[in-house]
Amino acid sequence: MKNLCRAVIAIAAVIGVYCGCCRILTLKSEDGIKQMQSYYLQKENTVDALLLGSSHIYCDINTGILWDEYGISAFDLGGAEQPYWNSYYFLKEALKTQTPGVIVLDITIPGIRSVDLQPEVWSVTNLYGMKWNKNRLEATKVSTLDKKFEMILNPMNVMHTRYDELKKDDFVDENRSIDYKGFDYRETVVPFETRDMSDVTETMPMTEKEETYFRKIIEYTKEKNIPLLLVSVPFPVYRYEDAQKIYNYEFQIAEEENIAHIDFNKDGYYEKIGLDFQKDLADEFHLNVSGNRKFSTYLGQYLQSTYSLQDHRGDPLYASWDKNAAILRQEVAVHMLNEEQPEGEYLKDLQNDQFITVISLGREAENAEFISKNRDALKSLGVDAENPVSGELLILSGGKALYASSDEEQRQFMDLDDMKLLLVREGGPEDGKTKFFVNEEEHLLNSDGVKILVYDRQLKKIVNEAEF
Amino acid sequence: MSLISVHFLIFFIIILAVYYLLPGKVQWIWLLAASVLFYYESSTWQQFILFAFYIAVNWIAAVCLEKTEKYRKAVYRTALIADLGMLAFFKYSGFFCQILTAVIRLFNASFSGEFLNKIVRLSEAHAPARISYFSLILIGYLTDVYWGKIRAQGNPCKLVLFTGFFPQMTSGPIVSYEQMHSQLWGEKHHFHYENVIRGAERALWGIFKKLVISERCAMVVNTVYSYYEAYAGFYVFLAAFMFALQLYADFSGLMDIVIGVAECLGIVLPENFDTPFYSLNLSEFWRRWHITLGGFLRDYVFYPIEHSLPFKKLRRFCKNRFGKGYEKKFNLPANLALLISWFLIGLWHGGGWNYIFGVGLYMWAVIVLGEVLSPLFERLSKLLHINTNCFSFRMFQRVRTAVLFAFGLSFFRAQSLKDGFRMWRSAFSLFNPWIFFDRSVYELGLPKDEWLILLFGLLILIIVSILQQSGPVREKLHRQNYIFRLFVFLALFVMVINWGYYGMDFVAADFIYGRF
Repeated sequence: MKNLCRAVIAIAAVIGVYCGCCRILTLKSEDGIKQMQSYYLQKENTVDALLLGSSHIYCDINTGILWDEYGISAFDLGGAEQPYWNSYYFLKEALKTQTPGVIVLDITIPGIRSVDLQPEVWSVTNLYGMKWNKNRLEATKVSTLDKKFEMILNPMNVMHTRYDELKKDDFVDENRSIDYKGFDYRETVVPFETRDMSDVTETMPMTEKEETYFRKIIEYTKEKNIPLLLVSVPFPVYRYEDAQKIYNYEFQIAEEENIAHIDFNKDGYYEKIGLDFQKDLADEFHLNVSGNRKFSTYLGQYLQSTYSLQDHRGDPLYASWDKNAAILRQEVAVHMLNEEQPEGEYLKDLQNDQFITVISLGREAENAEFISKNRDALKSLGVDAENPVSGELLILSGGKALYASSDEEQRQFMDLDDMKLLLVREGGPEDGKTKFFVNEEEHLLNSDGVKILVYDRQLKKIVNEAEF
Repeated sequence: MSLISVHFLIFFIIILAVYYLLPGKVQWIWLLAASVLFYYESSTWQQFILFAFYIAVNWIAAVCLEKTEKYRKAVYRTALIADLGMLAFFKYSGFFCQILTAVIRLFNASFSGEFLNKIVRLSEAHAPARISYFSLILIGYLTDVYWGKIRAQGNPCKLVLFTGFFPQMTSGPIVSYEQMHSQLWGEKHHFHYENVIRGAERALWGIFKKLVISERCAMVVNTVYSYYEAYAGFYVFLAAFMFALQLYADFSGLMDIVIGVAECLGIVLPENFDTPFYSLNLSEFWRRWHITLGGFLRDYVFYPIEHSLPFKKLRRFCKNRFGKGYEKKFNLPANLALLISWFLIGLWHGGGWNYIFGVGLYMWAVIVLGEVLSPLFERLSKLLHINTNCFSFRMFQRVRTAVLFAFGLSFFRAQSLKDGFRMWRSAFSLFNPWIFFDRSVYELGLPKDEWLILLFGLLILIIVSILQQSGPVREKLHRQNYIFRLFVFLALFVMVINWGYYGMDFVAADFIYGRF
């Protein structure tokens, strides 16, 4: 009996350690894994619009905008380069707990990469967020070659080499969250020509495997009696030979199957939405902050009017969408701050409630052009811009001063609700060092001129570091 | 089926579970089925047939040896020639054809050798897997029957199990019939928790050595040996030293897995390694390295040669020519018998002059020279007042032995004997100690973090080896509390699954000795 107990403990310990290692080492990326993991945390039957597909879904359709403007509880359940066979199994998993009012499927991947097998790296992102069950097993099988099946099935085969890149996030696992709704926006601006694809009317079939799973998705949604909307999201399709022909083919099937569909790359939709690829694209595939705002606004209006989706704003059951929208708004605010020029609205943007700002004036601060150009704004923040004191340190919260001192030796500790701040100055302004700790993270504030460091309480990270 | 694979794990769990549920009388049949399946899975059907044929020849010969008095010698010799012939054909046809082609070309420069190449290709394509191991096991069995040490096994299935018992079939140890028969089918094996746990611990330790240590050493070794023209000076020394470590961790790791797996089944296999890097001289080193191969050659090659008629005559001749006590200066007959044994050790490792030289003749030469010069060294030590009975001197001897071994072994890894010598020429052509300081060693396929893990792994290996000197480490471990033992096991497990070289980014290398 004693030996039996010992054996059971040993086996349980080995399995526990193995699962623990898997959990720590698994990628926490926002390209399919985080989306699926967070989806499982959503309260039952709260997702009204389920958005399925590739990165186009989670980069282009801003769940925050859909919520803020229409009260639609949407979830971007996408995965990088997601082929239809993965979308199919994502869908099967998704409908286990939710009964959305509409399912939106992005149809663009076959036009960009028409293959029967994705590279392993994409299979991983489209599989490792899924729970261990029959769907995951089948999805793995259909996503990999026979020889690679076992290799991909066991995450340790793929992930164990991450031991030298582990970070805090891997251990504390803040990855999966009910407040996360899949959206991951891009900040860059990469200009492309805006060209409507209405002149392409020919069709070209996708691969047999893609078509099989495409039809399976249609069949499954019909079986579940949930309306399906097929969309070709806006991007420079003309850069991909034959892509539009494949989309035409997909829409032809949709016609045959009596499925709603919109080709946003045709019929003047760019104009209707107000998209300009000169400034609305983050790269050759995805919309940026400005682009996704326009597109999400348009799509949200369409979804609400066509599928009569309920406005859930104010309903406590949907509080997580409120949080999600707030986080996304904050990300935009950070983006604006980072884009702002010092002589522009930069100092005004610092008055955001979520920002903790540390300003350090060095020995040359009084000569800094930044001071002379922003005297009034600085004054409103508590800095005596007329006679700046060399060595002065300020901590602002939402634009209001929490602390100000110009002593040579300083040590200020603040234990705020969600964070610990420590500001330390050792030595004089000439040779001293000024360090700013946010939780355990250390930042150096030394500068001859003006140094500004901005910590975002909502996003829980340093979002801006500027020196003038 | 690799011993380090999920397939094998599942296979073994099923074998183990059913094995202990079966009555004692049929346990061996279950092991036989598992062994046949294991062998069949890793061979083509032609190789499988050849393996069966090999056993059939020896089974028939052994039974005949018992039944006949008159033709014993003829039967034994015929069977032995058949065994050696098959071994030579399947394993050494490339080597012999190379020599034959070279000899023919001395007389006929236009000889293409195409026909011989065809023979080589044919033999290589159909060579039964692990022929080097099972042929020795069967030769040992046949010889023991011939010498009357054991009785012939009447049941051919039992002979199949003895020869192809699945853990040992991967790469030894080279077992004798006496060691195995009573364990394989003589007694009922009851489930013992301790056996299974100890076996699992041993296997895990072996996997650690293979995946964490050996595979990391291989990264550096492969880089230098693959592009040896580009690496000179200390790079060659480093690669040679690391290959010795790689081979030790690889082969002894494999043995740990094999012995551990057998232990789970309640079967004790002989040890093949006994901390060889603790040896004070090369002769001792080889008594602690691949012990069962050394034992086989001692029992079935060296002693029979020494006691053969020509060698008796030679001993008499030496006594007459050099006087009594000539053995103390230079024992010609014994050294000649040793030379043949070492030649065979080299040849067993592979059909190539690099093997014959590096792990054969060179080792023999160093051992013989060591013995011949031993009085001189002793006198020199006395003259220089060197204390030879202290830790530092023993340490010096151990390092010296390791260096001598690593040098010979470097030819084993080289593509040819010529390449081996080229490497060592370039080793002495450049003095570049800075490679150890300017981060050049991190450019050999193993970045800094990986070096640290390797060094940590080696540190554990060294600590275990040191502890081993005062008694088996596993006994010491088993005297500790359960929680501590569990912690050690889990720590090893975590290191293996995190630091092991397996999975997507790696091509799981075969065990080096698994290729023979």
